[in-house]
Amino acid sequence: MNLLWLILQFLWVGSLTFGGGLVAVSLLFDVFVTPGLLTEEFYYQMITIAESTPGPIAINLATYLGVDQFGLLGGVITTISFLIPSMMLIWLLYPIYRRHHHSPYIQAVMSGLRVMIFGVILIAIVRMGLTVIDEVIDLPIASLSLMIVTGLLLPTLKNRPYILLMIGAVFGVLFF
Amino acid sequence: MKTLRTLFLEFFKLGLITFGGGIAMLPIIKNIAVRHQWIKESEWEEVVTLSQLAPGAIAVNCANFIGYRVKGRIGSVIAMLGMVIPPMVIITILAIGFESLLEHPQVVAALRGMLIVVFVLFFQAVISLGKLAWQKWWMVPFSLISFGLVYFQILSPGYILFISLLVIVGYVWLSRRTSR
Repeated sequence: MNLLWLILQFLWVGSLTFGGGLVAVSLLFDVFVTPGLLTEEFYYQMITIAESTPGPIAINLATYLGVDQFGLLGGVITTISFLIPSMMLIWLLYPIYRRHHHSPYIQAVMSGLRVMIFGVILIAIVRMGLTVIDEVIDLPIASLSLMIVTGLLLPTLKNRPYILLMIGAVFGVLFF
Repeated sequence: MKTLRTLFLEFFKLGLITFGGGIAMLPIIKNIAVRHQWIKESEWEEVVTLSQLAPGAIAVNCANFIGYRVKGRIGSVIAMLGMVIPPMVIITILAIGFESLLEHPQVVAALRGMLIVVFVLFFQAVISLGKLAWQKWWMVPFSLISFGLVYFQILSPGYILFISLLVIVGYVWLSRRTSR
């Protein structure tokens, strides 16, 4: 793997991450895990850390993957490569959007795209679900009670996910 | 210059303290932007729609767009950097530190517990995205097609999104021309 390849991957992923973090999770799985550059286990550890630290998950994941592959500079380069397409598109789209934002065509494109994106998002959750199912088979009582606790607390702690993640960490250390 | 500094600092603070990305950040961004009169309250919908229309992280796009509104291209770069510098620094430190920590069974166990929580968080996000995406019943099979193509490794997800984008924009453009 070389740096140019990495930059191109992140430019590509950055220009196709329509609809937020979960899409990036799916796209980056395809870039790194499918060809065997990273193990699925390590990728999920990265995602867990990316979700537990401040900032959007796509940015955290981009930085982490860059640092993992090329050190300090790698993280800066992958994150900037990820950011460039959306930045340029906003600059380009803004004047057009101002004139047409009530246009039904923009809405039509968005809802069409959302349907296809949702399939890609489903991939991310199904793959992760398979890993979680392994955990449930291994340690049914601990895993299921953690899921139930998280599910019950989620509505109240929606804006403070780090509390839930801390509960998860404590559960993990005690029971896993 | 003062505006640029305020833009940077406000988004820096946001990047430093906000967990969970888009959904959690958007209401806070709105408050900040309205308070500094960077946008009017009535323009917020427009900011959100454009941030979702462009690829990338929604919260970052929001910063980008508001920065652009306030100070043009330099404003958007400054707002965006403000928002991404704190997470980049934190992740870089952790990524380097974690390399050796990941050998400890306790750390691995903690991460395994946390992954279950992440799964529940993602699951909930998927449900709300699903409600948004599947507005009509006939849309469901299209999502399943893109799911199947990726799952059975027929097409990579990037290509699916790229091709869908071309087809949908093309279709809408053609139907617009014929309807005139």
